[in-house]
Order: sequence, then structure tokens, then C-alpha cells
Amino acid sequence: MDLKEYLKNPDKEKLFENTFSEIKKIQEKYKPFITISEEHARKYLEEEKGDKDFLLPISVKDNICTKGIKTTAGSKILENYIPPFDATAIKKIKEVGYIIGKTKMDEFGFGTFCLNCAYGIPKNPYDVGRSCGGSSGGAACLTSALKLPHIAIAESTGGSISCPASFCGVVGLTPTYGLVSRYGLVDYASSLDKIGVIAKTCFEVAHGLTKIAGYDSKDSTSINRKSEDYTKYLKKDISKFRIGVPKEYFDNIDEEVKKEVWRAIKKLEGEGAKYEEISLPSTKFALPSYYIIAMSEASTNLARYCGIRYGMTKEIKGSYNEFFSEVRGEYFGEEVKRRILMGTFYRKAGYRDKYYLKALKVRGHIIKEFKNEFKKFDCILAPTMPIIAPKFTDIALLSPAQQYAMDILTVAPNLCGFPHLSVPCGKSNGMPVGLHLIGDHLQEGKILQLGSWV
Amino acid sequence: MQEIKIGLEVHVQLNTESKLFCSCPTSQAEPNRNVCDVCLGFPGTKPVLNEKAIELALKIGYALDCRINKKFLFSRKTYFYPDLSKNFQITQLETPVSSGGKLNIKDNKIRIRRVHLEEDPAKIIREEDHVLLDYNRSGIPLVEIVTEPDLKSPREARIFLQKLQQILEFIYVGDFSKEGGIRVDANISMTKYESKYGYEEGLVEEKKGGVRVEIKNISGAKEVEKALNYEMLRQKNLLEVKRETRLWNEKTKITISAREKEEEDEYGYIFEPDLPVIELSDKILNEIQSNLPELPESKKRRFLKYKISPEIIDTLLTEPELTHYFEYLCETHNEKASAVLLAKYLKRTLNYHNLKLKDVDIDVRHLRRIIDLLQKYLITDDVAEIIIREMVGDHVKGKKVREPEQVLRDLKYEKPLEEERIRKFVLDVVRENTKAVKDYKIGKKESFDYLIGQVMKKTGRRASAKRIKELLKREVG
Repeated sequence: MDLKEYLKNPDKEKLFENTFSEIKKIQEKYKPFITISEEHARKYLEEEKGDKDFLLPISVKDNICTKGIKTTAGSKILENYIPPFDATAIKKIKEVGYIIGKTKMDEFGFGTFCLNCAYGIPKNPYDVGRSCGGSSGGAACLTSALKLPHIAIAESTGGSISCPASFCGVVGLTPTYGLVSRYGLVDYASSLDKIGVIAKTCFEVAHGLTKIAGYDSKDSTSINRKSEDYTKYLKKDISKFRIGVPKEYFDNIDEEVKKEVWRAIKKLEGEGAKYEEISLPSTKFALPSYYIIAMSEASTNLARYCGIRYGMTKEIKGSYNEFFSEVRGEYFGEEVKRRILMGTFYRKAGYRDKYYLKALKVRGHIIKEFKNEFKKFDCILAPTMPIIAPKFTDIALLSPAQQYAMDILTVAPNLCGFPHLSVPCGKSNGMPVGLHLIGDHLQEGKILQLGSWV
Repeated sequence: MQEIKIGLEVHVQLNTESKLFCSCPTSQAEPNRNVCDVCLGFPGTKPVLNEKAIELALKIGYALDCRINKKFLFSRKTYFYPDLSKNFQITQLETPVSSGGKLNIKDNKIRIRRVHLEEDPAKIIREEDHVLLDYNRSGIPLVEIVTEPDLKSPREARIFLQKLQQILEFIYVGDFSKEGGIRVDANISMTKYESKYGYEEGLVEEKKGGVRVEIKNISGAKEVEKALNYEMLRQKNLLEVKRETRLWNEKTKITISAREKEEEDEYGYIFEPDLPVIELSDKILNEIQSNLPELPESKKRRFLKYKISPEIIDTLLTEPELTHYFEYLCETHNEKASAVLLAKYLKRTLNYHNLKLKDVDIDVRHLRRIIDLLQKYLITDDVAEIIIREMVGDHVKGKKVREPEQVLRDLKYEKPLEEERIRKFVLDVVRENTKAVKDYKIGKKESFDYLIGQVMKKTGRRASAKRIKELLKREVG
């Protein structure tokens, strides 16, 4: 049952009981949660006045602060951290739902397969031997397994919503940078982080986005504009749509994935949309530019975790530098340390010009290249991921650089702050394939409109 | 020959009501009371820029003749230290609020390299075997004013700082009575030129030294002069000066080495991604520029036209409020009398109590009445000062400040003598001191002063010296 059906005949008590009995089973089988917050949800449901019938189960990625519910960002260093406040997006979504739990993620969002989580690895409901994708792996895993109305609040920096949505066969929307307030989002790379939505259908995703979007004076990068109802775009006529299909996004792609994506494009053509092949030659620069910027910012954002004010700590011994190193050395995972070291290097005096500042210039160039295409096209379509969800045994053989390369298709729209939507568009080998729809800034309506026809 | 180059980095605490990136108050409080999720750097919090701080920083930019950057941004300066709540400080690197200004002291033009905004770290309180952190100060807005190395002596550095502080007080951007109101890092390099005679090249000049040493965290202009003087002495006694950062110890009056540095500090600056690029409209800039209070330099030029001595004017210029009071008094009264009342009697009394005029509730109308009394010869100058002392005394005791007439009544002050009575005393003195009168008439000027003294003995405080002088002149010619 999806949200649209449920809203015709809502029964909040039944939904609540069903949800918690279901997610306990799901947690046994696929392990998408770090924390299940049943007591918290029950209390909230009892206290909440107003339009109770429409309160929905909401899961939240564990890097988004929830007042009174442990928020770890997938890291040991925040194992005991209970935020004193709700993130703005959480405050907003609580008007239409209750929080059922906090979902697994790669530590601080650092990963493509959700293997870098300090609290265990979620398993793909389509094949438990395969990855759910990352970093919002728990959110997509749960969404895929839970057959009840539910919205997952997730977050993307370089593809962390699209990738797991694609691998788990669900819909994932990453909005325009600044459309949803980041206040209360545990920062990975502040100029790239976006809170978004994962759900089973475009309707649920649009419903969720409508609730969490909007200006917030506590986030200086938040966009001040009139709010809108994104569900109104769904299934609207697309015969005037013009679609760009960039050829670079089909290089080195799994043949089966390519086939499914083209089938989806043809289907949209059947609905009246016109497509054209285009070229985005700077694509190859997006990956290094993204990783340099993301790691540079991450290495400063994570500096605050040092055992003094919150989070895990140790007995204070030695100089402050020794103490910080002890705490950080013990509680940060390997991938976190790798990215902090690389990020610190990229912004070091003497290398800063060559890496960090260069990456910013490349970013500007890529935005221009896309913007130019958006003058002619409403949407740009591509595969979300170059492969279907990989087996854990295969991932083990990949080097960090090869893992980073998996983000090749998702980093550009993230780097540019463009809204993008991954929708399931077929299967290969029994595993879901995702179609990626990229829109111009603030054109969430268009990608949802087109996506609803896939 | 020796060449000294001194450059200063001056940190000024801006007097905003709230912190630079959150709404916590900047007022004094119990430790760790003025704190919130943002200034403690809790996960997920983001900075929101305080617009008032921009306005104050721009005022400083205009006052120092800087080029204003209409578009500027913030950067993260990352280093690990317990007083930094995020282990990075939000500051400005590439584009400060303003740059390229100047401040003249006598004939030397001191170039201002930049004026930028940044947040203050927390306060570290060192105890015997541990330290305590007070985050009340975390996020307090600071402006850093950086000069080029144009200062040529420790004394010049002090004069520069005093002048800078005076300007900052006159444009109302900081409160320098507060702890940590002004903190300075001073850079000094000394170069020696020695003449040598070479067999082939003839007379040549050899350059020695020129190594930059930084002295960190000195509070106040006088301490800067002392620290630099010490540092010069230290370096003169060294064979080779190392490039390093030193700390000034106010108690022992020496500098000690903090760390040696071979290269530039490693702070790994990136642009602050949680804040947008700030763009200022011409309207806002014009408003700030046109509302900039008159600077002390220009006030001085104006006051000099009143034919008041430069010393008295300089005293008036030690506090903006003194100049405001002066201008109010001038609207109704003689400039010189007003200036003397403020710069001598009032200022002297305030200094005695270690007070500033802005802290004391003295009504301008009362000061006007004191001048009236003086001009009608109803009181003498020293009585005027006594009245002021009593009034300030009331304030210090926490009492309601009395009106001048009430002070006189309370003092059981006797009215000054009528002219006729004074004349009688004068005539008495002339008669009793025929020798002195004679001496005066043959040109001994001191004798006149002696005669005045004799009359004053008879009249007590009830006649002013000026008045006596007039009458005496009339009698002895």
C-alpha cells in the first residue's frame, strides 16, 4: 500500500502498529536501522494534536539531528550523542509524521556502498549478498523492504540519495542546493550537502519535499522563495518536454543498465517528449573536482570532533594535541581518516592553488556547461549508476579510487547543486536499474513531472 | 646605521549586542552562560552573520581611509586548539571588508593593509594542573586591523595605537574599558647597515639582520611600546636573530619564545561554505559613510580656530563625550570658558575617580549654570572646580547628582564680595605696602604679584584673582 491509497482511508493506529511490527522483521533481515525509536514515536503520536490521521511513519538518515534521539552520523565518535534540537527539516516533517528510527549510512556520508558504517552494513532486500548503495543505504533499504506508506529523509553530498535509490529500486530526490534547510544536518561538505527524500513512489517523494522545502533564517545558504506543492506536477503532460541525453554518461556503463535506461527514454518519447543526444565534455573533470572540494570541506567540518564538548572522549592526558589525536584516532573509521588526510593536503599552503582553488574553478566551468544545455532542454537523462548493486565480495576487490569512480554519474549534478531524481526503470539480473533525471536549479517540478511517467 | 620596521595586527572587539554568528549576548556573564548550539560548535549548526558587525567594520574602513570591498566573503582558518569550538575560526582571507587605507601620525603615513572581521575564540583560564574554558567569548565579533611595516620605533607604535584607539572611540565601534578591548600582535625587524672598505669595490654598505619576529597578544598601547623596546634590546645583544613567535609577559616585562617558524603558518584556509558571498548595496555604503561621526583630526582643526591652546583641545579629544559637551556649551557660552571648565576641572575630577564622562550623569545645563556663575563673578575658578568635584562625588557615592546652586548652599558658600569691598581691601594693601608699590612703579613686575597675594589673603576665596588684578591695576597704574 502506498501513501496515495492510504490517504483515501487513513487509520493512524493501524498504520503505527503495522509499521513497527514490520520494521522489526525488516531490521532482522536487512538491518537498515541504527536506532529504532518506537517509544519516542508512540509518545509523539499520543501528544500530537490536530490532523492526526495524516501522521506518517518517517525514517531519518542518522546524520540529521533529531531532538532526544541519538544521532551518530554512522560514526563511533558520536555513539553517545543526543542532539538538543531538531534539524529544521525534521521540525517541518514532524508536522506530518513521526520518527520511527534513524537509518544506517556510511560514516559521515563517506562511501558509495554503505560499508563504512560503524554500526553494521544494511543488506539489499533484492539480494542480501549485495550492497544497498551509499551513503544513505539504510534509508533506501528500508524504503524498499517496507510495503507501507513511509517517507525516508535522506541526504546527498555527491550521490548519496541517487545511488542507494537506484540499487534498491526506489525513488530518490535530491533537491536544489539551498531549497531545504541544512540546519541540523551534520556537515560533510557544506557547499554540497542537501537533505532530500527517498520513497517508493514519486507521489510520496513529492509529498515529502513539499513539507521539508523552504527558507530558514538559521541556514545562510537557504533560498528564500515561495513554497509550492510538488505533487501537482505529477503525471502532467510531457509532450512539450525536451530531453538531453549526454553521450559521455553512457561510456563504460554496464550493457544491461544501458539497455534499460534507453528503454525508459524511448518510453518517455512514446509519451510525447523529444530527446536529443548531447555532449558534456567536462564530465571527466567532475569526479576529481568533487572529491577535492568535498574532502577539503569535510576535513574542516570534522575538526570539531575532538572529545571536548560532546561525543566520545577519553581520559585527558598529555598535551591537547596528543589528547585530540587519541580521541580521533580511536573513534574515527578508516575512510574518515583517509578523507581528512587528503582534504587537509588539498588545502595546505603550497598545494591549495593546485588542488582546492583549481577544483573550485572546474566546478564553475561544469555549472556553466550544464546551464548552457538547460537553455535548450528541460531535463538531462542518464543512468544513475554505471552498474547494478554489486556483491559484497566484488566490492572487497575495489581500491578506494575505484570505489570513488562509481560516483562518476552522480557527482556532476551534486557539484552544480542541480536537483536530480533517480527512478527505477527496469531490472537487470533481477536487480533494479535507476534512471537519473537532472533538472536546472529549482526545477524539481519538471524532473518529478517527467519521472512520474517512467 | 640601523633601520627598524614595525608592523601591527590590532584586534578590536566590536561593541555589538550579539555575537558574530549567533544571537548570544556579548555582555559580561557567569562563565559559559552566553552560549548556544552555534557558538559551541554543535554538529549541524550553521553561522548566521550579524549585520551590525559588518556596519561597524565598514565604519572602521571609512575612518581609516580604506578601499571598501563591496563584495566580500569569509574563510575557515583551521587549527586545533582547545579554545576553538569548531577547531576552525571563521575569518577573512582573500577579500577583507576593506583594504589599502592609511593613518597619519605627524609626518609619517602608516599604511593600513587590511581591515577584516573574525570571531573570537573562547577564553582559556589556566589553573595549576588543568585549564578551564569559558565559551562566553566564543564568537564575539573582532575586527583585525593590519598595518604595513611602516612604524619606525616602539614609541611611534604606541602613538599610532593611541591615535587608532581615539578614532575607534570617536566612531563608536568598540568599548575599550572592557577586558580584551584591544589586543595587538607586533612584528619587528631590525636591519643594520655597516660600511666596509673593500680593496676592489671601495666603500660598500653591508646589510645585516632583517629577520621578522612576532610578539603575540599584547594588550594596550603602552604595553606594546614596552614589549617592542624589550625586544629591540634583546635583539641587539644577539649575534643572530631567529625568525620566531614570542609572547610578552606583562608581569615580568620580557618576551619569551613561543615557537620558531621557518615558513608561513599552516592554516589550510578554505572559503567558509556555510556563508554566502556578501554583497553590499551602494545605498547601505552611502548611509554608513555619511553617518560616520566627525573624526578627532577634523574636530581638532575646527577647535583650533577658537584660539584655545592645543593642550586643552587634546584633553577635550581624549573622550568623544567631552567634545560633545564642549560643542553644546559653545552654543550659549564663551568657547574658552567652556573648554577650560571641561578640560581642566571636569576632566581632572574624572581622572581622579578613574571615570569617563559617558559613565557619569552630569547635565550640560548644570555646567552652563556654573559658567554663568563664573562670568557674573559670583564664584571663583576654584569654587567652580569644587562644585564639579561635589557633583561627580555624588555620582561616585551613588547619590542623585545635585545642582550647582544646591552644592553651594550645602557648602554654606558665602557670596563673593561686592566690588566696593574688594576696592577697600585693595586700597588697604596699597597703603600698607608703599615699598612694593614703589618697586612696581619703577618696573619690578614681581611686586605686582606680591600685591595681589596680599589682597587675596584679605578676601579669602570670595574674590577672583582676575577681579583683584583689574582693581589693583586701576589703583597703581
